[in-house]
Amino acid sequence: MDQDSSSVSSPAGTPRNVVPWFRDLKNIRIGLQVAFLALFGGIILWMSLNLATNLDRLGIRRDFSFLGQPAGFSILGAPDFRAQDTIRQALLIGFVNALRVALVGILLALVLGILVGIARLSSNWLVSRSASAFVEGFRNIPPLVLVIFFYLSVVASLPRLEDATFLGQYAIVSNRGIWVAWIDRGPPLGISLPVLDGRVVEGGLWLYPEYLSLLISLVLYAASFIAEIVRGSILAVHRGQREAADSLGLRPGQRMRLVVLPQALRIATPAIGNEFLNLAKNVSLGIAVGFAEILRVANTAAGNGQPAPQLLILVLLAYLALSLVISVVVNRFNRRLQLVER
Amino acid sequence: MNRVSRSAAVIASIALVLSACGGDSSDSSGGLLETIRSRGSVICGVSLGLPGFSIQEADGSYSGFDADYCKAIAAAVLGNANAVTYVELSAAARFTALQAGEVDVLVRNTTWTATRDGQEGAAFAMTTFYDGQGMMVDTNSGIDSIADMNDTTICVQAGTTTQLNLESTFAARGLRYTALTFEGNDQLQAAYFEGRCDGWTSDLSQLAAFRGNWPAEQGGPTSVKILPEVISKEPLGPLVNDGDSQWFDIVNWVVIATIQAEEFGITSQNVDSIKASTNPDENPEVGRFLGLVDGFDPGLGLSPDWAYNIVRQVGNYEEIYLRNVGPNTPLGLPRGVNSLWTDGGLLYAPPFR
Repeated sequence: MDQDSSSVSSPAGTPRNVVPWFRDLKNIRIGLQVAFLALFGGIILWMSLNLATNLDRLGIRRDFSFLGQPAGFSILGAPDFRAQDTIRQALLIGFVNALRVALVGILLALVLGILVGIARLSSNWLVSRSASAFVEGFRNIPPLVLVIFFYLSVVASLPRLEDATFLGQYAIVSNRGIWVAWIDRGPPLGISLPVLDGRVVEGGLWLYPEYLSLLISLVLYAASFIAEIVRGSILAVHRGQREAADSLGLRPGQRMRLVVLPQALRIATPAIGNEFLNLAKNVSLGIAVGFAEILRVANTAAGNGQPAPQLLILVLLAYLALSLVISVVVNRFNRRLQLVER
Repeated sequence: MNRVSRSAAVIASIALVLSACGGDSSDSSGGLLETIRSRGSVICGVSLGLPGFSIQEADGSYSGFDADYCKAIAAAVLGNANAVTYVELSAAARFTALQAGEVDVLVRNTTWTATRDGQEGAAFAMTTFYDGQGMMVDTNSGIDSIADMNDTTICVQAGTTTQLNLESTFAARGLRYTALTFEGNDQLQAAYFEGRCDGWTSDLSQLAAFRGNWPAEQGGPTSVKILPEVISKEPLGPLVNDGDSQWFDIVNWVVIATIQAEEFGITSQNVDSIKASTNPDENPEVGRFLGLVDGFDPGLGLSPDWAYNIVRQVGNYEEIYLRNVGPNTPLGLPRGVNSLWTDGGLLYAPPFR
């Protein structure tokens, strides 16, 4: 306040310790917040009204009652979904499909990323160079290109169903998908083996090319970033920690596992969390290869006469929810790690 | 002028959110017709590439049955059949692109249905092509009818009536199947070549188009066959947005004019001599059609010789059909129900008076 009153613009004769309300820093801060909120709210309101006006002008409905209508189409990989089921259920299946790729992908990318990150620091020339090639290769290719590349190469490299490869009784490999022996949940608990019957395979777990190619490409892409984060975090652990471990007589493996990695993990967690978010959002690239995540399902419904703006709003909310959940989990994990810090 | 855009529904939806009531200016000042006149070209939404219907040639021009109707509209409105800007749209994006005003008219082998007419806010003009849905399989697959197709995988385009008909047909017959869906016919055909599906279902005209152009390294046209069943009605025609009745009337009467010209026996070859030799007092019907009768104006907002321009520059229905999809083209489709009502077909033009 003293600095304020010494400025030239300060009117002469005003008592030094009294500041008009509109120059009070506290009021200015509150005012700016309110103005920003009003501007932001105004933009949202303007866009909503604009959308509503445009939809009315074009004679398109703008409610969500279409969600209860029958979808009319089937969904790849969801044999229990029937055409007479509702669009709401179709979107839900799309969301579950997206969730499935995101969660499995996050687990695989984390494991692969940590392994490659450690490998990059290996003193073995071949191991560290292979890891570098992996990182530089996958990190620098757009994920959409990876998805399409893996889709085409998976499909092209696998045999037709009539020439399918059998791995004993346990797996059938063809370009219509890979069927592997899987747990049979229905009582009694057992193992469900895939059996080829004419043009169809019964039993087993069906990993279809659309799912496989999306999962593989997203895992490789995310793992290349995670590997770099892990490498940087390991290097960020103070050299003294390593020397202390050595002086205690720990072997290199023990040194990494017991001393370096736990501390590196603390540094890496927030950055790895961001990569999880990226992976989850990139699931929407599945639309390029026909994987039935929620955007693809919404697009199909829109092509069959359902209103696209409402459908896309639901897709936006679904991906937002997915990202927020991942954020919350990562943040909670991060906070727990930080509590241990001394 | 060619513009290729593969915009998804996303982009067009953003346009709906952000466009500051773009329709207002055109609605108040004479609608889309004025906009098109001042722009100097008709923006026409076509398919991503369908032989016989709309396909981009090596020189960048477009040809095909649908492309010819784009040209006919431009000939009627602007007097120049080449004043068309083509926008290629996927099946799933086409309605949003139309609603957002990205295209003036959609001539994209689109089936006229109640939901699309109502819910999508579209207005369908007279049908240009009466189609039906069929199924194509390998000749040596051992499949002779849809009843043989239990436990098969079937390739189909996403977001089409075809996909819905497939579902209801197989469900009604109690057949189990897996549908593989694709955004475009190119990807679908690649998957079929890879042996990922046992059948390919689409409109019969599309199946004929792809079968006719089946590559020799894949066995040529005889390696695939089209099953005899026709599982749906697919009336295909141009469509515009609801709410601009003048523009709708124009598109509608462009289609009618091509049919009427065939009925009169007027072709692009003889239209000039007929125009020169016709006495409007003796033959008032043809006179009104060619704009020779003083004081006759149907009120479409077009110049009196609009129908003459269509026939002169593009041709009558028969010419358009035979040139693109008829028996002497790779598609080899007989006229069938797409004949004049006088020949037992479904084409019937309301009178020009």
